[in-house]
Amino acid sequence: MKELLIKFSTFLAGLYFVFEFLIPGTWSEAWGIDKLNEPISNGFVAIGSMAFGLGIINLVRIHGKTILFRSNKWFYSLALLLGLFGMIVFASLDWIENLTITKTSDRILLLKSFSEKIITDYDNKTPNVLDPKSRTDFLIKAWNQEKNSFSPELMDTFKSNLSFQKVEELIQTLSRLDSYSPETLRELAPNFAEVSTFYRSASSASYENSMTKFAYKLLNNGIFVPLGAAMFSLLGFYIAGAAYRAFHVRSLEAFLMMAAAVLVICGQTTFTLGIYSGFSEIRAWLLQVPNSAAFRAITIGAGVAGLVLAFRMWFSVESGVFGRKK
Amino acid sequence: MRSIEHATPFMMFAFVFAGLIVWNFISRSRRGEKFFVRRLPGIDAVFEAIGRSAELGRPISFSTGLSGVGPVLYASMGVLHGIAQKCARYGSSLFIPQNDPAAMAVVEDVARDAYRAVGKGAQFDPQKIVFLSEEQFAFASGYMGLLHREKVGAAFLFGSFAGESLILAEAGQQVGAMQVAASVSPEQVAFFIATSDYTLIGEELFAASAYLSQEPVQVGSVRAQDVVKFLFFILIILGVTFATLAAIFPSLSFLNLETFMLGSWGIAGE
Repeated sequence: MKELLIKFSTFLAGLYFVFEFLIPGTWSEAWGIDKLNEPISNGFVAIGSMAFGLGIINLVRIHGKTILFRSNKWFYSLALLLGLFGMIVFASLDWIENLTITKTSDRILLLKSFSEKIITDYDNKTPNVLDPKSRTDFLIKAWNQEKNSFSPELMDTFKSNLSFQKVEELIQTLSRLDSYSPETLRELAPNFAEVSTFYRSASSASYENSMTKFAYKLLNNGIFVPLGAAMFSLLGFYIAGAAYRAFHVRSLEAFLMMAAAVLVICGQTTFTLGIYSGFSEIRAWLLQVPNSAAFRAITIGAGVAGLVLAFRMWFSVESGVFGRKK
Repeated sequence: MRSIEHATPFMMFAFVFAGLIVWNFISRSRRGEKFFVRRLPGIDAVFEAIGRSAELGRPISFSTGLSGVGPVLYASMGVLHGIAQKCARYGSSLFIPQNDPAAMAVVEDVARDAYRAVGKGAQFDPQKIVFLSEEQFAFASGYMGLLHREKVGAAFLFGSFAGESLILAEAGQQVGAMQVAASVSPEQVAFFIATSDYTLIGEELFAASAYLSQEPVQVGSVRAQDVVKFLFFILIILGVTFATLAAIFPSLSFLNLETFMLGSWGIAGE
């Protein structure tokens, strides 16, 4: 039963993609098939996330055991797990902080839209809305709530900002007024936008100097990225080593390979081009004709083989590795 | 030329026709018809490398590179199954460093199944299937470390590889491992030819599993892919001939094979 269910699910999943590709685009739109793409892609993301969790569990299981039993070179496992969890913690903190800044900035920007909405609703006599004075009071309350959430350091930075001062001044004016004042609101709205932008840049600048950001940058930009670059730079030396081995002329094929490589090098370097400019055309011909032909042959062969394998998987006719023998 | 998001009538025909060919050859193979699969020196070398490692008492490494779950991984799994069975029989350690968590689940299942198939299920050690990193060069670094620490006697690189291919293959060279590599990426094939003892190029990776197992389904599908490839070859020859004739006789519009192959369904608004 389980096997049948797997085969049926595989067939259905394959059928969707084959059908979606084979039918004309207009039919796909008309029948609403293209609308299924997003939920299906989300399903793949969900499955991928589960697999990612599986990877973390596997790492913790294997390296945790090595540390617990003090197996050979257990400290490498400890370094790995510390690095893994350190990175997870600091990357999460970084993400939360950036999200908080963006959300607060968006909320301040919303106050601008709200100020404008109070004016337009009043002018258009929009039904079923509160009176403009009450709405203005809500605006003042919302601003004060936002302002109170600012840290003392941020408030110090804001004190020198003209837009912030203007907002404060206009909010004070609105608080004192007993009636609706569209002029004040109209003046206030663009200043909220300015304050939102300033908040975003000031908070980001302040966060850049925090310990969390420092730790994240140390782990990512200071350790992870340079180590990756160091590995990549090894390629330069390895290419030289591999080329040395490859250019040992032991057979006709090796001779042809070396001759082609030398001609390509000659067509690429200024010195040899100065001796004979025709190397450039030879290089171009080698790359565009025999090289492209070989590349395409490999690509077509692999593509056809992939298609045949896909048929096998789609119809679950695999009898070897994936289809269990009874 | 417009980008292809949906098949043209010709593509649909080619797809269905290819499917029928595959079905035909697999059915014939299942009924017992024998098909010839040519010898692949790289695959013969796989068993030689395992035997050599077993004699030296050194472990073996099998890497699927950066392969995610897809055709290349499935093709590599056929080879892994054969290698894992041999390792189980000889009692050799088999390390399978991993880059993709989703692929890792598939790899673990295939390796476990191979050990069970030869009655050595208890010997299977899931700790030998090591998740190194999803990041390309971190994975390469981990792989190098693994090969140097364990002093592997044979290293198999079957799957999708990118810029890290040379780093992986050089690590095997440095520890004196016998290496067999297979990649469908033409750019990486050159690096493998320069650094590995044997290299399987392109579709040979897909044929390797059939050659190892001699399974009727796999052998039949290898034969089918040869036939499909031959038909594509005829199409290429036709295309070249028609394009040449069209260049000489521009007035003959029927010679434009591209219009025929990429022609639309003729539906309004398509």
